[in-house]
Amino acid sequence: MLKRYFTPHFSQANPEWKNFTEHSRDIELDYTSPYIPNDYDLIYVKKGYVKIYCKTNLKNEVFTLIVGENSFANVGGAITGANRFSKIITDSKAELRIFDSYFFWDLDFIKNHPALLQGMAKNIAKCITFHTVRSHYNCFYSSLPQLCQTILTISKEGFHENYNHVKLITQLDLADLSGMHPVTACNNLKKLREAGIIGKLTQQYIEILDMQKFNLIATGQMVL
Amino acid sequence: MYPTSFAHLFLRLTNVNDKWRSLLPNFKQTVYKKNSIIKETDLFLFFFFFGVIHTSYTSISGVEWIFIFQNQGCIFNEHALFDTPIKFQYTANTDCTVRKIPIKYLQSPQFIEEYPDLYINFIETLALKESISYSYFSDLAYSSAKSKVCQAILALANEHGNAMFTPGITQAEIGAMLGLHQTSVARVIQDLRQNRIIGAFTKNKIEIFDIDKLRSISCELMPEPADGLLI
Repeated sequence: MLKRYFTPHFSQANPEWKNFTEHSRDIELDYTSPYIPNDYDLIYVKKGYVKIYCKTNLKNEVFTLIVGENSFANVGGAITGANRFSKIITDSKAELRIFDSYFFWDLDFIKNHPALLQGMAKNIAKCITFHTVRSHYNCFYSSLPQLCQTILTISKEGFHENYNHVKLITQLDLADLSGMHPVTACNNLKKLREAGIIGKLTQQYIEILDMQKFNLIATGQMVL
Repeated sequence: MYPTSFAHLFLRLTNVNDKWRSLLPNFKQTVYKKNSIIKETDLFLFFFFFGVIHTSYTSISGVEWIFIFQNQGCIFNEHALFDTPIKFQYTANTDCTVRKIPIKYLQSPQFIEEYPDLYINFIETLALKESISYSYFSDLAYSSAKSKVCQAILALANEHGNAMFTPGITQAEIGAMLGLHQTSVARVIQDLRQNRIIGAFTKNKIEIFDIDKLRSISCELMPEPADGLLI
């Protein structure tokens, strides 16, 4: 039996930006105060982790992404000026560094900080990969592999003191992150439980009793 | 070029990297025949000079998904600069001419120092593609088949800025982009035509009669599951 603890989608993705403070302001976030970003806010998570809710054409907002320490949350959105975020929250405490993304178009800045720019580009490439895999699942797979894939993406085996673990993930969150209705997510979890593939599901971790089958389902190679 | 409020679906990009043309005489030109797969993707970023290509992603179980079409004036294979876990495949839809720019050259800090404007354009292109990949998830995940097809027609209309245009994409290709069978796409199109929302729909001509109705259908959510209880 494996205990997989929930983790952010991205963590330590942009350590090269850790000490860069120009064109920015720092804010502290706790569970009582969501941050509502502006279109050109470039958001960097300094400490803790944040949950990001996005606007879509069809729904007001959907819980889309969890971003951990030393990572950008929205390079693509800030560069296109089309921030999709409706709000950013945290379950405990987090620190954000909010850059005004206009500095990105300053040629001198770019010439003087090539490593920072490469870090930015790398972050967007990671996000494309993440959205592509998730969209691919949404378009071509049924809800069960979608859900299993989401669980694999946001969890890691074992608990590590110093790791950026997520304290609160509900079944509703799993449904949102997978792009499905909560009832569909719930039915699929029930199926997995009845097949003896998963055990306990708490807000911090999920017990996976048969990892091999779980992986096969997640990749569409086995159906229940 | 960019979405104005939040992510929008784009099915095709054209001339988004025209700035790179000045750099190209330094690099080798290669011609690919129609239906051939672009090779050496581990070594080069490509600038697309002439023709049409599509980018696709194939999952571990062998399901191929067409992500986007690109016409002339675009770079592709930006992902090869970074250590990302998935590989895209690029296929020529027509005979194509490309210029090959070595990845190692682009990865060097000297390139950024020498061509900061091109690197800005490079990041803007990545950002645009990220926005597209996000909109596939956010807008299509909760959509019915009818809504997905309407979103695709709106994306094409947005690209052309007109109610009558040449899409250059077949119904089968739209199906491959949206995760729908060609028959499902054809059924939706027949329904839209019967209701006089659109007229012709071929690779060479799409006519939109009622764009407001099309927009309204594009926002229809997938039906909720009929049974089940939250635990």
